[in-house]
Amino acid sequence: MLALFLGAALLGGCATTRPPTEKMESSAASIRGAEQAGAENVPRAALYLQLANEQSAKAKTLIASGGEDNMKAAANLLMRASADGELAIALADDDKARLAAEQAVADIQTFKQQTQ
Amino acid sequence: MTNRILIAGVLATLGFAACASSPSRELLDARSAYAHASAGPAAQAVPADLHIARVSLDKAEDAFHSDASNQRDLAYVAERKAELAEVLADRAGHTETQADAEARLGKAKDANHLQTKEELERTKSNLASSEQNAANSEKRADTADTHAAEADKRAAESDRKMKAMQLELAKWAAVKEEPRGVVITLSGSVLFASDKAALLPEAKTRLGQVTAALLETKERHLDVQGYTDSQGKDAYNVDLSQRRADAVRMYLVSQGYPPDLIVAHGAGKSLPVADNATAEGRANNRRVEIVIQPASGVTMK
Repeated sequence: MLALFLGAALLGGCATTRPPTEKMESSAASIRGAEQAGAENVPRAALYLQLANEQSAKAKTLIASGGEDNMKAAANLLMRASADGELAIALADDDKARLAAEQAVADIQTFKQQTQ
Repeated sequence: MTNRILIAGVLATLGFAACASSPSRELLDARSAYAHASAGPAAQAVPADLHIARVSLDKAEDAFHSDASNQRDLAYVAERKAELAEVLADRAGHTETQADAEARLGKAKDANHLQTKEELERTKSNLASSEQNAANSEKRADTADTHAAEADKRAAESDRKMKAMQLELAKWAAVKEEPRGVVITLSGSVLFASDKAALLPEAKTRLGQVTAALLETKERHLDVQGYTDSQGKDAYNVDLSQRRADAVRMYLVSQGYPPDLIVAHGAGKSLPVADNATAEGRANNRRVEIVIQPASGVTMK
């Protein structure tokens, strides 16, 4: 994919029509991270993951269409997708941390009840 | 001309309006999100992330003021960054809660472990002392057994000596086992001269043998009883029999028998063992009986 974009950029020979590879990579990484964090199973995180995926898909369509305006629009969409993906990761992790904390509090209460 | 000026004016106004247009919904959301985040725990918990949100919002504000084409995108990102800072602060709070609960659990477990250990030590100690008590009880029981065995042994020894004594006495005195005890009957004519209460030399020799045997078991109570025949006055006979019994008692005591274990009394003509009508019967009635009372107290010890 990356090679294709690089190839397209070289062929195009114009800096302004070059696809936003860096933004594509970072948005892809944040979406992957959100999926690995289990964002799909956490409602709020799932929402942002969905937004990231939608904007990323839209960006890909624009990039495939080519043209300076489309590349700029794609770059902005990918910037949004990255921010959504990062938020999805944080929300998924936050949910895990909340469950772990609740478990720890429950553990000590159980222990105290058992030993009293 | 005026129309052109008017149109230019309208265009200029539109252009100005475009530059100073009201902020986008995205920017309003971003401002609101940042204000919310910076008022919450993020400032304390995740200052670096809140700073990133601030920088992001500043970029969006700049883009808005310069009317950049991507101002809405930058505002969108700024809102997400502010939300991100809040979520990270929330997460830090959960992590802290978890760490705190785990630390308390660790302490509680340590305390409980210590308590359990102390209880175990106490139980062990109690067990040890009860074992010691059991051992002591056993020891006491053993000692009691030993005492009982010794007492039995002494009783058996006492009985054995008694049997030996009876055999020895049987050679010259009548020995009978009666409910009141072993009765040694000594003939009055062997012990005393007529009407006398002093022991004859011959009597002392014989009594010496009796005494030697009695001293073997000087735990028994002795009842020395003097008897006469039916001749003579009763009072005199009682007195004589008393003095004779006393003489025997005194002799036994002089030979080492414990005085507090011997009583003596004169029974006169009472309880005859033979017919007073004949000389032989009267001779048999004149007698001293030494009653060796049953060794009730010995085995009871």
